[in-house]
Amino acid sequence: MRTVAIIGSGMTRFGKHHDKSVIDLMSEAVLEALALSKVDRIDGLIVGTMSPEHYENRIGIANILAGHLGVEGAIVMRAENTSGSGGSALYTGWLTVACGLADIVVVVGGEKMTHLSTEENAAIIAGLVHEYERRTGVTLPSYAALVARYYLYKYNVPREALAYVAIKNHKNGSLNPKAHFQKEITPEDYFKSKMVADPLRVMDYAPISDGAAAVVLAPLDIASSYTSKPIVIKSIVGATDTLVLHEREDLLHLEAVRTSTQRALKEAKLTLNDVDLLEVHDMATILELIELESMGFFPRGGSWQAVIEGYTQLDGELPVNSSGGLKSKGHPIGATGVSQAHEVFLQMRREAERRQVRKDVRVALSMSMGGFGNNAYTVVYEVGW
Amino acid sequence: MVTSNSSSLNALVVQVCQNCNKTYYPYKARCRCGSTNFRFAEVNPEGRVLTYTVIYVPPKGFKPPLKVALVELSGGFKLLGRYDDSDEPRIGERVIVELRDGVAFFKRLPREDG
Repeated sequence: MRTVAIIGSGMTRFGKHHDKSVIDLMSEAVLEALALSKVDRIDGLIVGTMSPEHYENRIGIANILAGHLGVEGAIVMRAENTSGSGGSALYTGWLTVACGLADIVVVVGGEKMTHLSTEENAAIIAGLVHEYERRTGVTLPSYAALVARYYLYKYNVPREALAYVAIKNHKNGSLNPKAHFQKEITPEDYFKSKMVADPLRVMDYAPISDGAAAVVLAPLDIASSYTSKPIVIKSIVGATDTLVLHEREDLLHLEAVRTSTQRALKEAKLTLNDVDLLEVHDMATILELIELESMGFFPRGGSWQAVIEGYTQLDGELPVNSSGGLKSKGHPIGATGVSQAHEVFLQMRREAERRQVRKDVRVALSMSMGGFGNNAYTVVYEVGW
Repeated sequence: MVTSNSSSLNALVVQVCQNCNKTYYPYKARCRCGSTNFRFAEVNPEGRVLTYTVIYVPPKGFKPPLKVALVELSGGFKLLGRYDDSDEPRIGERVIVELRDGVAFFKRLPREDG
């Protein structure tokens, strides 16, 4: 296996793009990444997206994009894993380069969602839960509420703990010119927001967004001819958990997140202590907490204190979601996993401007997952210079 | 759809793996242990609320506020279903499950202490 590096990345602003299709958004992200990496060819194009079929009645999205971008004679395909489509696309692109089957591979993720109503979006996303669960009226946001209530109860946690995750991510997002929401929130804003599924409010959830992100991958041995600061992908590991939530032994533990993190670190010959920065999948505030605990960064029931004490903020010991996370940066579903790699790329190169983390980032980790941790991909990155 | 010899129309009949005893509802084609040999059994329908939520923005076709609970039945089997009472559920309270058109509904049982 060859060592693979990211040599360029790009991203549209996340938010509402009334005048653009998912093809326009993905093209914008890819062109930005290509311009930065200065590559003169594309050997492979991997597209991560959940459901252009539902959103824009497009099938064969990878071929449509390849056509629009003039990608001919290349290996082109789509990778899909619902909310974690970006993670599975990174995996596929990384594997293609690592195996020596292609040299310059572009990975792009994107989704166009905001032209449909919240109800229409909810109906599409409900398609990913088990039919039985759907028939009870439960979808992903209410899964999060069931888990949040149990977390607050079991560890005797104040509701403010969840607010602090949202406040921290909004603060980071307020410094990110590509975030959907670039506005800080106060505890009052949080508690005034409408209850969606008790105990979770509007301010606990990621918004519905449009957007795309892209990275350009190359084997490390030729990466230096494109950039003096390549970011090495040390490992990517995917792992699954049960689809049906109540089949899990422990509702507060995401086994797919634990397994993919532990295996990815082991393959990279690194440990949790080596990790300087994290991008995780905070579709709901509670998920950031239980993901950090499932990964092993904090003891069970212990991550919320770390958030409140500032341990995970930009100038903290372990910055989490410096981009603003799904909560504030936005969550154009297929784009999210790739946008995590974009954030790591900027942070490691110290190009994240106003949201640049204080500490030097030598090793970072991102986790992109489908559904409620049904299928998680964890990526370990290291500076390549 | 897997059928069963359930004696009661509304009783919960679960699928039990013959190899590892893991219990499922809804049913699966293959157990996590790899086995495809299952038996079907009625379970004690009483359990306790492990967690719950009240959904104010439910999917189309459901009326808010929609109460759902995750219940641990006797024997440790967990099941998600609708909470069928005008009051809000309480964690730890005793409930009894019945199936309606394949979906679990939980009804509150009197407190043990009377």
